[in-house]
Amino acid sequence: MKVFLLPLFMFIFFVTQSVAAELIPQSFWLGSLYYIPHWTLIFAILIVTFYDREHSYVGLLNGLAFAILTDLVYTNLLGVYFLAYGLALYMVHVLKRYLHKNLLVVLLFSVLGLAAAEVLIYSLYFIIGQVDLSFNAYLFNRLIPTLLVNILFLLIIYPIFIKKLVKWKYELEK
Amino acid sequence: MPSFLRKRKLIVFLVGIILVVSLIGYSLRSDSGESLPAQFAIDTVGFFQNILHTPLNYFVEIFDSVGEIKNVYEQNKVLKEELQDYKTLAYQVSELETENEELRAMAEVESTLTDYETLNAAVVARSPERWFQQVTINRGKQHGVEANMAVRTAEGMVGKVINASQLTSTVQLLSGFGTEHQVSAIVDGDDSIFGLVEGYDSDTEKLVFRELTGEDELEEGQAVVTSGLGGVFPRGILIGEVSSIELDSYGLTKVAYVEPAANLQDISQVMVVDRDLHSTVIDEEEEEE
Repeated sequence: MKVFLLPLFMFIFFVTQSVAAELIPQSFWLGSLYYIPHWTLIFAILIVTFYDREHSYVGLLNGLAFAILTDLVYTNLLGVYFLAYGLALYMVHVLKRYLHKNLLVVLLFSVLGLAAAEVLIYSLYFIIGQVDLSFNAYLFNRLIPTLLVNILFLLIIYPIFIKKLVKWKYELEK
Repeated sequence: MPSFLRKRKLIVFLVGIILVVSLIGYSLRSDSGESLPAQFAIDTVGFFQNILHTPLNYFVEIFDSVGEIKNVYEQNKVLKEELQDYKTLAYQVSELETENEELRAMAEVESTLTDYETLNAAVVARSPERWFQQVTINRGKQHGVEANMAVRTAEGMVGKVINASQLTSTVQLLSGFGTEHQVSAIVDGDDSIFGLVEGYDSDTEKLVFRELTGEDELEEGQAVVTSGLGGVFPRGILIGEVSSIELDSYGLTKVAYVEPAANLQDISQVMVVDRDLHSTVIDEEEEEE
């Protein structure tokens, strides 16, 4: 049952982030600042930290599945998100062994994972020639707003999902 | 067997990297339409986006209209005055249209580059990935949308269809145009100045228009419209207004920065433009199907 529930939530976030991007007019309050919603990545990081055990990869697999879907639906290039989300989630998977699991640690994981994925996506697009923004402009106009908005999203969904994820984890162990 | 596990992980990792790189390379090269499974995935996502978009859009519109109420009185006065002119104008236009049709019938011209039909569509989602300026609309091949058709709003051109699935299509906005999506355009004036819209300057938020005729008549404030010579766009869709002119880096041709006529950030309703006079490329595709 839980096997289907987690992808369902991922799918809801996946669809919501694009509809939200359309309905919130960009120039309205942000000016030249852009934020990119990575809600599926944030939720996948939550799954990796609180649901996955040492040798299970539910969060990683979910993240990868929705990364390839992002590539397919929202961009013209397959594989960029796949690589970026995959590496970011694997990094979280390795790191979580060394730290206790609480809100501060998830915040740290999210900032690290997001920054890694975003910079990787930026550099891949830069190499391909899709993007010609300088790194400084990218840092201030895109990366920092992206981090802030996604952290805000994390703080909103954290209290809603955290107990359920831990509960499902122990149900699974029984 | 820890060593075996570590080896297996390394192999998975390396094979993954190779697969991803070849995937990127593959999708860089193929610019033709999406395959059937990809269309299916896009349509499924589009279906849910549509479901979610309709009620949310309703609420957003309520908020917007509350904000607009305070301007209504002022607008109403201005609009009434404009409406007076409009009536005479509409009469003139219908006169001219009938005359035009009669003359065309005499000259035995069936359809020209300026004739087109439009198909209304609603924007249901925007790519959250803001490197690719793409939006999803809720009309697809079933409704007659084909790849490469121009997309406009009431104000002017916003982009073109890059992918048509069965029920939804993906529109590339002008703000994401690069050298791979050039628009053949002319500058409205006494002598039409011919050129190409080559891309978008994201710093100034203006389109880059390179004139190819090499004459010096380009001026600020002139309107840039599609020329219809690129194959699928009709003639005469407003792209924008020239806001500044520069010499290019070689000093040979002029480059104009064009302010887009349509608001590219906040789009909700669009029209897909289907030219009456089809180019051979599109007709061949239709025959294949």
